[in-house]
Amino acid sequence: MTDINDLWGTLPEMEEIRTPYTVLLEQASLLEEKTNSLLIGRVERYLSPDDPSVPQQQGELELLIVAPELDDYSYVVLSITYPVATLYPVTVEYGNEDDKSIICHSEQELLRALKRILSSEKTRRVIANLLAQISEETQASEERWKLADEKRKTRERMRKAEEVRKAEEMTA
Amino acid sequence: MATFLFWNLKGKNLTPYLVTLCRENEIDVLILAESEGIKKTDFLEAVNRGQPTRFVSPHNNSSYISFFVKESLQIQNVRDDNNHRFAVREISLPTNLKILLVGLHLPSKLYMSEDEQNFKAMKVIRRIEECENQIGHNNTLVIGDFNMNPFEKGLVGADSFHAVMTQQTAMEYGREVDSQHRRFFYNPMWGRMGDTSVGPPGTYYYRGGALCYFWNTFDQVLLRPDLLDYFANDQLRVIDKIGQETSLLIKKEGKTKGRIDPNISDHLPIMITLNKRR
Repeated sequence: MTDINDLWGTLPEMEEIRTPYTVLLEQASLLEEKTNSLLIGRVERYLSPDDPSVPQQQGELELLIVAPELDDYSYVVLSITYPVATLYPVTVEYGNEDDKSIICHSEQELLRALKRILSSEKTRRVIANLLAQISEETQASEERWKLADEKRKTRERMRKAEEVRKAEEMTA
Repeated sequence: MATFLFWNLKGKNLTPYLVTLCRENEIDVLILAESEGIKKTDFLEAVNRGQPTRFVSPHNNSSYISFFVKESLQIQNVRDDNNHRFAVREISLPTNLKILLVGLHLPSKLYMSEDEQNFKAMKVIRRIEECENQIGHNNTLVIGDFNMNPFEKGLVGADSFHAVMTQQTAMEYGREVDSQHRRFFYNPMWGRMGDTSVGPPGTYYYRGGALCYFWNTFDQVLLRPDLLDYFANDQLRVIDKIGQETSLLIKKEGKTKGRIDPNISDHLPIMITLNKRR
C-alpha cells in the first residue's frame, strides 16, 4: 500500500483562544457581581449585514448594561465588529461624540480599549444614574407596600370591630 | 389621543419657540435632536408656567435624543444606543394603548455615503426589532432625523426600514425576501414631498452639487401597521410657522423665498397625532 503523503504538517496544539465574545462575557458577569445583581451585563451577537465594502463576513457584538428592576431597561455600552474567520482586528465603537472608533489588533489591545471605555466617566455616570433610579424605585415600591399593608390592617381592624358590634347586638 | 413633535434644533436654544409650539399644538410628547442648546430646567419651567398639565423630563442616557412628556402619560425607558444613535421608550396612553417610541438621529451625508447610511439603517432596524420582540408588541412609531429621504435605500430596502408609501401595502404587514420575513413600516412622509403636497415641500433645504434635490425630507415618522387604525393622514404636519408671527421659512417682500430660515434651525419640526381607534 502506498504511504499517504501528509500534507498537513504538524497541527497546532489546541489553544485556549479567548474570542472577543468571551472577553465581553467576562466583563458582563463582573458587572453583575460588582452591583449585587442590580445591574446585569449582557452580550448580544449579530451577524453583520453583507457590506460590499468589507471583504470578509463580519460579526457584531454588543455589551449592554441591563437593569432588571427598571423593566429590563438596557444601555448599549459598546459594539465590536470583528471578522468571523480571523477574529482580529476588531473595531470598537462606543457612541462617543466624535464618532471615532478604536481598532484593536490583538486581545491585549482589546482589553486596553475596554478598560478605557468601561472605566470612563461616561460609563460610570450611566451606572450611577441607573443605581439611583433603582434605589428610587425600591423606595417607592416599599412605600407602596407599606401603604397597602396599612390599608389591609385598617380593613382588618374595621372587620373585627364590626364583628364585635354584631356580637354585642346579638347578646343585647 | 396623543400628539408627538420632533425637531432637530441645530444645537440652539429655541426654548421660546418650543414653548409656543407645544402650547398651540397641544403636544404630549416632545422628541428633540441636537438639543444641547436648551437647558432642561429652564425649558420645563417655561413650558409649564401657568399650564394645567405639566411636562416632565424622564431619566435619559441618550446622547442624541431628548424626551419631554406630559406627566399624565407613563413613559418607560427601554433602550439607549448611542452607537447607533437611537433611543427607545414605551409610552402608555390614557386609552391603554402602549406605543414603542423610537427617536433617532442617523449620521449625516457629510460623513457617510448613501451605501454606508443604508448599512447603518440595516443595523438600526435589527435592534429596533429586538426591542419589539422584548416588549412583545409592534405598536412602533419611529420618529427623527434620518438624514435620508423617503425614497433612499436606507428607508425603502427590505433589509433596512422597509418603509412603504401606501397604507394598503403596509397592511400586508411584510413580505418574504430571500426566504426571510421582512416587516413593513408605513411612511406617510411620501405624501409630504414637493410643492403639491400639504405644507412645505420638505423638512430640510440644501442647495449645492450636481445632484441636488434642494428640498429634502430627512425628518420622518414611520408607523408599523398595527398603529394605522389610530392614524389619519391629515394628522401629520410639517410645521413652517410658530405662533402668529414666526415663519420658519425665509420671507422676501411678504413671499416665502422657498427655503428654511437657518437663523432658527435648518430643519422644520414634524408633528403627528394618534387618535382613538377608528
